[in-house]
Amino acid sequence: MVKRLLLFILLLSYMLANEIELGKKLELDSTTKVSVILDNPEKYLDKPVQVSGTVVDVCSHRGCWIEVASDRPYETIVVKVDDGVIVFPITAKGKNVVAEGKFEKLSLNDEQVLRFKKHEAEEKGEEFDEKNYKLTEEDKTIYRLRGLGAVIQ
Amino acid sequence: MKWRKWNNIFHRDLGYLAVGLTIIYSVSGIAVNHVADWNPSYKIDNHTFQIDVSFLQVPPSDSDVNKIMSLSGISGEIESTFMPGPDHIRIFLENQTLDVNLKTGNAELETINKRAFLQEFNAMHLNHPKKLWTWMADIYAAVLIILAVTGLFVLKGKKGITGRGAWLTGLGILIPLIFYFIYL
Repeated sequence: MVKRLLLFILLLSYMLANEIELGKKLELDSTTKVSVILDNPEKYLDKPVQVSGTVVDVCSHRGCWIEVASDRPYETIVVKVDDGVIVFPITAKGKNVVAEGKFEKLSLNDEQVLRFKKHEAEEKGEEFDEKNYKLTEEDKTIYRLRGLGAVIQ
Repeated sequence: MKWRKWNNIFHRDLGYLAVGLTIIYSVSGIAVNHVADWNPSYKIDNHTFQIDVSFLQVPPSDSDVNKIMSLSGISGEIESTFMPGPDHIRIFLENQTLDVNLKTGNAELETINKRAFLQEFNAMHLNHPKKLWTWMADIYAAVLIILAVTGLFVLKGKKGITGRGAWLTGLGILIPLIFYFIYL
């Protein structure tokens, strides 16, 4: 009885330690470079894509998004997941991730952009000056990956 | 009656079995409920300071990155680096991130520490392990349902479900209904 209990606890510890697979299992055979996707976003809209890169930021409250470095300097892509379905650990920063999901486009109006920016700043623990923020056309279109599964390596 | 005896035995023994998980789920429940205000699993500390960046080349070389580390008084293995912009480098270490503005020398070190017990409790509550733990959590949920139902019939008489128990059970059902109609 005691041996079985110990075995069970060991098994449980192993399962808890093995937290690198998140959400659905990866299905696609190959990854697409982030720069390739962002160069021609309309081509990939609503299609399943797999990306890979360093996790450079994580939602510090809910773990509901990560920012993944592109293969091109200064560029990133956000992988957003449904709250609670996948929770990215904040310790994923700096590690390599392979993430899969549907590439999506958000078209926002002025009010939505400000709300989005404000929410984004809150999640990053930054201040957002809503009154003095100058909206650009680029702000109104957001391309991101709606993440379904990820493996943090 | 014999059925009540078995009901109470069931209620008692399942209750003992559920104590551990109930504490884990309820403590984690409180922690996760306030996720908008804090990170329930990790403590995040930020420390800002200034370093001399006059000698650095942009983009910084590997040796420059090592110098930044040394100037910041940070040791540890560098996992990776990233440049969010031409004048900004982010250096990742195990549970630490160092952000440095290469023009001004402003640096910010973020250190992440697990919250003792809460990180593990939350991981189980939010089903991070998946696999067999999913089944364990389902069984626990079923046990809670059995505990609730058998709990109704532990006592008979005035303090049982036909008396005081009926009022309290009704109140317990009414409370979530009131909140549902107010907020949803």
